[in-house]
Amino acid sequence: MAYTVLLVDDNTELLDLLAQALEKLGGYTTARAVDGLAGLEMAMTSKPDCMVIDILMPELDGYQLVRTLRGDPETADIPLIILTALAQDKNRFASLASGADIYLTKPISIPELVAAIQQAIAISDAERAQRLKQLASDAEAEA
Amino acid sequence: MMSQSLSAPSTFAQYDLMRRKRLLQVLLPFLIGGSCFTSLDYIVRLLVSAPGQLAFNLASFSFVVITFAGYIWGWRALRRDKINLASTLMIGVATAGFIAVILRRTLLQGLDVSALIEFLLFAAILILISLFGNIPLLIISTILLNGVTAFTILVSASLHPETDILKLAGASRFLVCGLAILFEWIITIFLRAQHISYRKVLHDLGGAFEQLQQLDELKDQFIAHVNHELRTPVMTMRGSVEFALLARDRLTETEREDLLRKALRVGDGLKHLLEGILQVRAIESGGVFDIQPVLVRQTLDDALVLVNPLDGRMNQRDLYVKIPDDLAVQADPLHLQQILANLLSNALKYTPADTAIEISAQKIPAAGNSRRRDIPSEVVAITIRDYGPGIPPDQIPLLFNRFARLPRDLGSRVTGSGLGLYLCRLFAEAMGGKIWVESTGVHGEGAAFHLQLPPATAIPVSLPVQAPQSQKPIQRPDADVSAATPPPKAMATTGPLLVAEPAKGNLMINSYLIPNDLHESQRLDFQHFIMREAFQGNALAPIDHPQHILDVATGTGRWAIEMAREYPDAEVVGVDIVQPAVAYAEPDQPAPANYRFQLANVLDGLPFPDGTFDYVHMRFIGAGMPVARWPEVITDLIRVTAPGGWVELMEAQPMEGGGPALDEVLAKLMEVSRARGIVAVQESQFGAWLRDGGLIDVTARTERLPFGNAQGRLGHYIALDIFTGMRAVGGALAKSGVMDQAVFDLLMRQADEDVHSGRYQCSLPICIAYGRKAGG
Repeated sequence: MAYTVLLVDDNTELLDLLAQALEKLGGYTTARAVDGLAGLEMAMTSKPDCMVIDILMPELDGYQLVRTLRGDPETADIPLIILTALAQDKNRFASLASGADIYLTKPISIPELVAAIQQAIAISDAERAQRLKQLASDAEAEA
Repeated sequence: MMSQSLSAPSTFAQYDLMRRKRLLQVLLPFLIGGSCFTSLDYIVRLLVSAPGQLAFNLASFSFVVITFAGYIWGWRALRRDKINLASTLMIGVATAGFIAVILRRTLLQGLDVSALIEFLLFAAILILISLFGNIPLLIISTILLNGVTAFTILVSASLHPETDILKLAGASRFLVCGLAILFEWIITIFLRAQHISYRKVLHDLGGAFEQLQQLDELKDQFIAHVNHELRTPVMTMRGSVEFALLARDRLTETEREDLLRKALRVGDGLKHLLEGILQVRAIESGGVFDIQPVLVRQTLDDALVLVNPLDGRMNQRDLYVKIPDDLAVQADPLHLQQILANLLSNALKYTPADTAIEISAQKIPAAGNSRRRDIPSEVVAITIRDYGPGIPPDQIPLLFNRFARLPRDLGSRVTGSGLGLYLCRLFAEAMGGKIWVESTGVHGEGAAFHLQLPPATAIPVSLPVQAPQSQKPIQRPDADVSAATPPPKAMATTGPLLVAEPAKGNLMINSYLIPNDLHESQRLDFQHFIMREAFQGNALAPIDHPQHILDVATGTGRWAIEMAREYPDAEVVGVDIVQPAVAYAEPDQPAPANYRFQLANVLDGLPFPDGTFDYVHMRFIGAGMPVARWPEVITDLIRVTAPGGWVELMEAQPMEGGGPALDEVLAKLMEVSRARGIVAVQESQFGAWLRDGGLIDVTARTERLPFGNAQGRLGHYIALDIFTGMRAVGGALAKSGVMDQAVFDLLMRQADEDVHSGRYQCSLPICIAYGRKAGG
């Protein structure tokens, strides 16, 4: 079964292009959201296999979205890729610190993005159990 | 600490501090060396001193100890980077030491030659002090020296008259003392002046340096911003092309074309951004402004052409314009046009599609000191007001800066380069004006952007030579002016006032409907003659000696005047919302007495009682009017028609069968028109509207007129007329980014060839409809 990739970006031109390209070139099923809040709702309901998230977006920015997803056990194991025009070191740091698996800066070629998605999904398969266990033990410790 | 002070100085003050530190470090060995030498002399004298002089020499020696203590303290201060303390201590100690030496010598030996040399050496100490820039110390030292000089010359000589050179030379003691003191002050004043000029140079250099640093910082920010602004569009553009290449086999022809179009569109956006950046650079490095009297109203019309019709769904917007026709400012027409286009585009982009936008301009008394000669007592204030979300007052100061985008917009769907308002400010200031915004930040109260420019003496509207268009072939966007939006009640109209919806749909065919200069009037008349020739007459409805004829959107009044001549018994009224600038096309022939012109706007409702006319005629207005407004306009036409009277309408449609080149240009023009809600009216619509309005005997048909040289004289004239109109809008299409000027020119040349050679049988469809009001 094809993996589902949820794309969250407020630039619809790019969003359409990526969706089309990932379907045709990567063989993925795609879903799109044009702001952080819509992205969050779709992630909660449809549980995508991977998400590609922009940082500067209305409603909820990329960092907030990533943190929210990681904070909820339901969505904590979704592989998350940040794809942004913010290309400074501090953006990279903030992205990874928020909980993103991979940080990419625009512009990036489509094959590179496909490779990153494959990599993120692979990370997830290996680490999903580990991460869930970690979360559970954290929750226990808090209790 | 050390490493910090040794790093490159960043300000003038730091630089000066470092300089003094180095100076101290260099001078210190010499000062200490000099003191050591003197001390050695003291020690020797102490050892060999006669018993009577022991106390004196002991006192001198204790002074040596104090001097060295001062040096050690100064050295420690220097090590701790307390440069001011260190320099004051060391120079002070050196000065005091020197004075002690002189006093001691003259007391012991009188004013001999060596004492004179020591006096001269003291000048070196003054120079030293001035090098450190310690002016109080310089003054104190000078006064001390004066005292020592006076004491030495006036007192000590008497102690040792045998060695006193003044006595030997027989000079006046008081005169020499006065001259010496004067000499000392001259040195001090000279050093002080030197120091002031040195400080000034250093200060200027420091200021320039700081400015450069700020510029550098701005440039860094600028590059970071540009970098950020470029990344997403570059990725979209690159990705589209890459995808089109990689997935060649899996894409349909349309999909591939869509991708390439997307790349082109995004590329155009990038081009726009780069142009903005270049413009900023050009202005910042001193742009060229051609200041001249410019008509505000006309410039606004030109600016409307520049506004992307897709911005803020312009076709749905109510745009209220309140600008006196003859209001003129001193400005550069192109830059004023760009400011207005920018402000309008912003107003459209950032406000909801159902809110109004008002543009007004008027002369107001200048604020501030109007008594000054160089400030005109009046200024022209142009205001563009919207009723959108407004701007939070705390963010207003940021708004006119480079790459300023409101935090709210950063993540929003509205795209912007952040350069627009910055450019507006640069332009306005370069033209001797200013620009600012007022907003409460309350949603719905919107924002008012004010542009203030120096006024110019009014230019007559009918002299287009001075108008901005003469510089640039931009088509005026004014539609047939009777297609105007009514002003809201609050905006009372005074004086010559235009309230017109800027309709780019006008570009479609009848591009020159406002007869406000000779050229346009001639073209309109030309068009009138073509239609009369094509339809073999002026009236198409089967009228029978009408007594009251109304011509809506009469333009130059040519049709109405001919009707007045044809029916001398009838009263003919022509209405339009501007007085034709060229009153009648045949100036040698006076207008017939039974014709009159009246200012009126059909969209405001015609100013005539019900049933006034028995023949109402209106043609070529739809190209400037949103299709949605037709029914109400027709209802009003029918209202003023008497029972039994006729209503006649005529509208053009895009040419048919003119070949692919012409079709492509027309498609673009229609795309632009459609964005404003302007669509060519179909004959079936005409018929339906007239019937819905209660008319009977309704006829609606489409006549296809010949188009092109191959179809005879009429075809030649019609093509000439319409192609002239179309060529005039090429620039506008290019400006609005719909079609490149070069592509447009190429297509038009091809279209010319296609229709004139007869390769394509082109025709111009004209929809005609007329109907009779029941009764009579």
